[in-house]
Amino acid sequence: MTKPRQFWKGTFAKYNYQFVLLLFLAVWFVVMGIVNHSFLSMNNIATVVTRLSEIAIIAMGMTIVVIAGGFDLSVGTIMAMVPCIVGLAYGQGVPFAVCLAFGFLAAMAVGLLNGVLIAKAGFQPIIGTLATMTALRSLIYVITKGKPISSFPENYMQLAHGKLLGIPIPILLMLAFAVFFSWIMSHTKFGRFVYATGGNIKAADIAGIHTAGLTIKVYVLSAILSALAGILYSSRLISASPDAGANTSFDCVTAVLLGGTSIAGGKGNIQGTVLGIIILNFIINGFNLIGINAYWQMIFKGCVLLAAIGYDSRRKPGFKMVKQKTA
Amino acid sequence: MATPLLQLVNIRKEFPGVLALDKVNLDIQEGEVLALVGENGAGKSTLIKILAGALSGYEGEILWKGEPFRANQTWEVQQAGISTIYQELTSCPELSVAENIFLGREPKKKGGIIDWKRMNDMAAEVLDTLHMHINPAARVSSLTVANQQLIEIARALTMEAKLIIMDEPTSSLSEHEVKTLCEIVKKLREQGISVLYISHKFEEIFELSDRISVLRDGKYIGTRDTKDASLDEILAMMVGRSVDMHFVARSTKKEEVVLKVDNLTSKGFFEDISFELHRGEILGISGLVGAGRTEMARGIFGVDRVDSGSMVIYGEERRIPMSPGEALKLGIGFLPEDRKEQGLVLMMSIGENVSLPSLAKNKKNFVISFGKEKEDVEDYIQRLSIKTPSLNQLAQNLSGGNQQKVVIAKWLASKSKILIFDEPTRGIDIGAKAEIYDLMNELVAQDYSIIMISSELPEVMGMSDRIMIMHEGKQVALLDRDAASPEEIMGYATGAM
Amino acid sequence: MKNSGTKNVRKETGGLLDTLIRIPEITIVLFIVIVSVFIGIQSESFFTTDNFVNISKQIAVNGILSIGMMLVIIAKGVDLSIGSVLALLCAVTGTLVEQNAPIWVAFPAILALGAFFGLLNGILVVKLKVAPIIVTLGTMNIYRGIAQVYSGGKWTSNLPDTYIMWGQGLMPICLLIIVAILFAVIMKYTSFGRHVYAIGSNEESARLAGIRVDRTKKIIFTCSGLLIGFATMVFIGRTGVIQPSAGTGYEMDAIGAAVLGGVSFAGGKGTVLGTVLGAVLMGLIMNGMTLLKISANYQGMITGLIIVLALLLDTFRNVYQGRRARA
Repeated sequence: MTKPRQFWKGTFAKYNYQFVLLLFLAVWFVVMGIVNHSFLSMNNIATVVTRLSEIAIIAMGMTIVVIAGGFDLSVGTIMAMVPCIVGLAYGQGVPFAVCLAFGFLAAMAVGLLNGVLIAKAGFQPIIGTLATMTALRSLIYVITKGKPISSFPENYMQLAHGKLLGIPIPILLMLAFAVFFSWIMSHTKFGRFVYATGGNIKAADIAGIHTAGLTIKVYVLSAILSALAGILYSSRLISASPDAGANTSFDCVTAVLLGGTSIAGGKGNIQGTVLGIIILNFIINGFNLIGINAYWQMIFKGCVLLAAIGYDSRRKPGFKMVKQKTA
Repeated sequence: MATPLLQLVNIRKEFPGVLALDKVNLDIQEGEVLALVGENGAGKSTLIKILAGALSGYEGEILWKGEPFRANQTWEVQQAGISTIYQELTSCPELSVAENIFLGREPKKKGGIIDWKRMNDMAAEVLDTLHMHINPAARVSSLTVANQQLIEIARALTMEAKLIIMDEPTSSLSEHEVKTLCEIVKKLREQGISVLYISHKFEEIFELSDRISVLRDGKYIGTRDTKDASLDEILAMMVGRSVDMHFVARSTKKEEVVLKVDNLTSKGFFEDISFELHRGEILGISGLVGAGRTEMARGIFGVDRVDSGSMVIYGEERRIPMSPGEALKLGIGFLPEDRKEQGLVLMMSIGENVSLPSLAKNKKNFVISFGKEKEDVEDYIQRLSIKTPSLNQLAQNLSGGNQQKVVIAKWLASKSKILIFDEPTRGIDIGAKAEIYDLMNELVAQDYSIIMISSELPEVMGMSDRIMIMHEGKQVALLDRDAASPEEIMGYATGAM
Repeated sequence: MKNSGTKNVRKETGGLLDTLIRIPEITIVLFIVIVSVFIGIQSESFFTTDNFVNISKQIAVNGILSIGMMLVIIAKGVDLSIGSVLALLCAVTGTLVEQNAPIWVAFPAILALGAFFGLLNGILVVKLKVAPIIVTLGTMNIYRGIAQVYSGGKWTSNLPDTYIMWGQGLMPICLLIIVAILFAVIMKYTSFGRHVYAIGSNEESARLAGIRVDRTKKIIFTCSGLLIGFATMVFIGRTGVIQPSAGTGYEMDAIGAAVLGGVSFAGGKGTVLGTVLGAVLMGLIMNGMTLLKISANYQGMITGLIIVLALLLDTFRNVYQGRRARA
């Protein structure tokens, strides 16, 4: 007879961790399918997946940031900011393509600021992005005067509601990005350097990698992906709210860590994050269907985050914070 | 014999991939100075960490005053009466001298209020016995390395311990300070306090100790009474049968100068360093800890900025690298002193580690060519005989010697011909050491040039063509290998000459 | 060399700059004077007794919170959960008011509960072996969720005078002064206080010196929680209502005050006096914005900007001191 405990330990220890997540998702589908009949309906699943595409795209950027040893709390705010800028500019009669360019440039500027503060001025990633997040949110309120923006072109909604080959465009985008970025992370120098920088920034430096530049690039990338998600979400609602994305950063981090990416950096992958997002969103969807309120979900997500980092720190018992250098 | 104060029975400690200690037995009597000797990597530091309660998860038994004693926490060990002076500095730079001395045992008034006046007075008192004239209220970050080391000694003295462990307490002290310390150790013995004295300096060992215990490759070799022991005997015990390491005579040094630096200066670290490195040469750099050797190497490699100086490579005047990337382009490679913290990305595979600098150097090819990478890396695994099942093995699972070879492979793969090795054999076992020496000899035969920083005299003398000696940031001598004697090198390094 | 000129200049002004850098408190006092004069010129109502009482109430809450934050930052951590704990304590106070609990029961109960939540943070930090910032990012959401679930989101008003009095008149500022003096003494004259500095300065050394690092960390977070309890009582008294959505973004204000006051994220550095002065400066700026009729929408921008500037100053200080230590 095999020992089930050992089986689980072995399964968990390897990268099969993601397989376990998948297993969990399957169990959840079965259980929820029994508890609530609308859960497994095509309609429900399509809605959930379409919606999670937005946050999944942000979370991919966040994954790369976390693997590089950083953290980005400003993603939710960037997601809210970009459609506000685009909508405001369009309302002023600016051609839509130019509005989009404005939006993305603004996002890149924020990413650049984050990157420079962290890589050059030595800010702790969470504190640096927390500061830009706070400042940015208030900037959004100032430019929108606190009101939602809905001045978008007629066919804007096509982006989020349109279908290609019968599949909603956001889902296609998410899949394309997932494939593209996993390829980037595993097959290109950029990806390799991100892992090296997050794994041991001193060694990466000495190996000749320009780690500061790389860090900045990573934050700009994260900002661009957040901007794109912002466009998707505003296209879905044909409206841009200054309050949007308040919990997005937190949800993304939770999914990234749940997906097996290490908070210490240097370890993780895009597939895991997408899986993490899918699980988290279907759990929340299930909760919604059986009427558990949003605040319980907040508590639940917090516990998932703590469990994920707890598991992550157990995975490497010999791990110690980098020793302080007495110079 | 009476019950020993401290007795170690079959202590065994394993790190992933390395057996650090294997069946180590040791005993210390009351009022005895026991010297513990062994080469770097023999397991002394690990043993001390276990004794100090700073490392858990060992096998075997420790008896303290005849009673079984499990050292789990540093504070428990200190309360039992063992205090430790570590080799690395362990002070808190933001706190004052007095606070560091009494950290964790601050003198208090009634009601648990710290008595700053008494603390400063007591600190001044113990500093006085060490002949130190510094303000107890000064911040430790403002002191010199030697003074910081003395603070740790002062700290141990105030603990009223029954046993004081001293791990190379004199490594950064001047001769005068060493004398003071020797006096103090003798005084401690008179007071019935035991001292476990770890050192590389046999002069001190023979002067101070009652008995000498030897470790080699994590194993306990034996103990001799100092008065009966000879230096040769102890040395033979330390290095085992391979007394004469693979130090072979070489004649690979060519006339051509591949690297020439002039007046390299970084204020506060090193000053006016000038030397030439020839093709096929190993230039040894000797000196004490804190002499500025590592800082100089980091300056040449562009990790830290230098203030002034010039550099000529292969006859061409070059800007001193502002980043490791620039140094890499100039064909320089750097093996840092701490391979785990700076040399390797431990959670990456061997292959990924080896190809990092090559990828960084090659600006083209955004996409990694896995086939070529595999071919290259396997070539180097074979050439350097790195023992691993595959190139996908994680670097953290390798032994120290093999890790070091991976670091060397990094630079060979990136086609660097000028290599700076900072303590290339630190913390690796003797067999692997010999392999690294062989490898270095092979490299210079293939027209590589090596700058080797080393704190081990035999290594410097055995491997180098020429030896540069640094003292307090200054270049004090540049000797030919044949012209140098150990005494001379030590003399220059300690500033006595 | 081209930079030798600037070096000489620096040496000449070294005396003043040195002092300013060594004693950050002087810089803040200078700023406080400048800001006061500036607002005073712009607005007649600034230099009035009423306004000062008003400012003092605002400063008190943030001041008490930032002393707790200071403790955590000195030990090289950050507590992001303080706003959420405050909200949760508010919610509990609501229940106590409904149950007609006398203040001599309620006050200690809130303090104890605050300490308990802090201790919980501390235990998680120690057990999970993860940076406090990540752990408290998780508990921040958990506590906030619990606050909402527990209170059902409802407000309580018509509080008894015994509850209100803690936030009226000069009471808040007196409480702040008492707490500040208490912690100034603790930081300077108790082993605990010194061990906090030691841990922040070099945790490994502190451990080797025999300090019980884990226990000290737990006490640090407990203290932070206890102070949140104090701040809660002042906050409730000042606003006169209990709202479970209270305290959003308070962690930013507390971080801002501490960092302005010269507490360094590099650890081991900072004083109670500096922190309180930092809180005063932040309070003055916020008050000035109200008096100058600047929209509240700008508030986040100002806070973010202050934090970024203060952190840049901190980076500069560390670099500068590092340079001087070598020379």
